[in-house]
Amino acid sequence: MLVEAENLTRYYGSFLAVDGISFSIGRGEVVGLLGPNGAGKTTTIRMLTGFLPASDGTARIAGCDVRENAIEVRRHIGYMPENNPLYPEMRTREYLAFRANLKGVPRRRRRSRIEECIRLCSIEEVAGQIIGTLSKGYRQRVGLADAMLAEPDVLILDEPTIGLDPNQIREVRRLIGNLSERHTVLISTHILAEAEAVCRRVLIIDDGRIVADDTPAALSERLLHGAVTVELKGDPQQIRAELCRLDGVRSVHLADSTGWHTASVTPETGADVREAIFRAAARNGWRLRELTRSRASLEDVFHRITLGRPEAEPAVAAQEN
Amino acid sequence: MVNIPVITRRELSSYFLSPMAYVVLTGFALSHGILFSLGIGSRIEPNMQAYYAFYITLFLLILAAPVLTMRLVSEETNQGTIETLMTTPVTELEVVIGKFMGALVFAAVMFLPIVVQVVYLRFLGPVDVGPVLAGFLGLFLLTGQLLAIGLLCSALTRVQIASAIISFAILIGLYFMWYLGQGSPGMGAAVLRYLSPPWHYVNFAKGVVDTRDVAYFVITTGLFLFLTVRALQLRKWR
Ligand SMILES: Nc1ncnc2c1ncn2[C@@H]1O[C@H](COP(=O)(O)OP(=O)(O)OP(=O)(O)O)[C@@H](O)[C@H]1O
Ligand SMILES: [Mg+2]
Repeated sequence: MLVEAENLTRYYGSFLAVDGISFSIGRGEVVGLLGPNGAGKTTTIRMLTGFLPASDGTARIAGCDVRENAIEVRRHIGYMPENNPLYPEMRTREYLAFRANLKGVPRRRRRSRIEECIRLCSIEEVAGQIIGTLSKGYRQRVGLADAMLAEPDVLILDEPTIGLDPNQIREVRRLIGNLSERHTVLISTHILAEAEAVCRRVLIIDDGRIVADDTPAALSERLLHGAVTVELKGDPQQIRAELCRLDGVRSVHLADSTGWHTASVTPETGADVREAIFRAAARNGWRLRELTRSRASLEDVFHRITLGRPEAEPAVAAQEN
Repeated sequence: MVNIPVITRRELSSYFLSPMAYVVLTGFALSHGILFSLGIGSRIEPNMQAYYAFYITLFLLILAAPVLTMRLVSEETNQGTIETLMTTPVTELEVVIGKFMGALVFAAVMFLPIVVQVVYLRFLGPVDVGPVLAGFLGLFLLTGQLLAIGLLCSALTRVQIASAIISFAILIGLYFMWYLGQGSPGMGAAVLRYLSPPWHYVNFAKGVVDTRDVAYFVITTGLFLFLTVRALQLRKWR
């Protein structure tokens, strides 16, 4: 396991921000840390990088304890903090050279590695520009270039697309997607589409606790029963009766429109009733022109899980882009 | 320790990219030059005038040191770059020494007018090399100490101006101890004198190198740098 968190806990004064979080991330995984504002994502990440000491619990990166072996841990991580702090007075290439030096990129590979990262992040045209004058999207890419400079085992990115316009969000996500081919990535976000787009595993954190840990697909599978929509031609009475009798069907709602009937079939949790519906249609000689299963989006899942926290809702709504 | 020059270089380039640095450089050169030429006007002999050049620096440093050091750590905490900095394989000690060296090198550039003045005095008459070298050694030690105090203040607050004001206040206090300790006899006054930087510095300016004075500066500078390292380490716990 490359990243291990065991019962990580953090108090700010008497306020409990992170409440005994445990998880582990294996090599090559791309994991999203998802949660509403104030859930404790940044706090968790800061404890993982060793920037903030945990009040309780331990974190290990590549087998090294972040407290006892802080320097060694830092050799394994490429970290882009929230808000991507940079030195505004420096030029892009000069900044990357400084960072490569600090991170101990071997001298003979330094120059070529810097140029490689500049190319990978498409910041060639601003390589000589003063960072303070860059647009936010470019600054974000400079931060990403910095995070990947020393070819770290783990990339930890705290809200890398915050404050970007949709085009730049797509660009940065594509970049992260490329990174995930070679690195283990932990990315925090409260944008659900982002986690769905780039992560193969999602940890949902709310109120300092992990409330779900699974693939985006499995999460929606597990938590919401995907309703099936069928469009049929046949006797509505019979259709309703037959569909209701199928195994695993909880309820059927039938709407009639110009000869075609649209049935919404709600199955029992976890059941996939598409095949049964198809067989029933064949058996009864109905004509069938659509059979789809609506997969719950991560958004729905997130909403459900963090429901009961009224302040979580606007955060979710605001991020629908 | 390999990271010290990396940090020092960045600090230096950052100094020379900020307008504040040029204000300090010209401010120092102008005020030092004016005070120096006032002394020339009274036609004292070159060796006395050299002493005078070091003596006036003592006071200009009270203003210059806090301004030079205020941004060193405060700016990093304020902008959040402390987080990117302290998550690279660099130790707090390397960061503190690197930044300290950066400020010290910048101060050396600031002192160039003094070198010019001493060379100029050589044309007016004979200047003893020994006292001048002693003066520069004292200047180096004093500057190190004052910068270490400023650096500590910078590590204690994220507001640059607050950092400058606190270190200015501390420096004024330290100088004031010198005045308090000078007139009166007795143990208390002696202790006050002994703890104040100017009391040791003027010995160097006069051309006297005493190991006790050297030790005073080395120990206090080390102490303030150590406290700065501790402040950086303890920052996490706040
Ligand atoms: N330095 C601090 N002092 C006191 N409380 C803090 C501090 N930092 C964070 N908190 C609190 O801890 C909780 C978790 O904060 P954290 O920054 O980890 O959330 P987050 O999930 O990253 O949120 P966001 O999506 O807004 O970035 C919040 O309630 C926050 O107010
Ligand atoms: Mg955050």
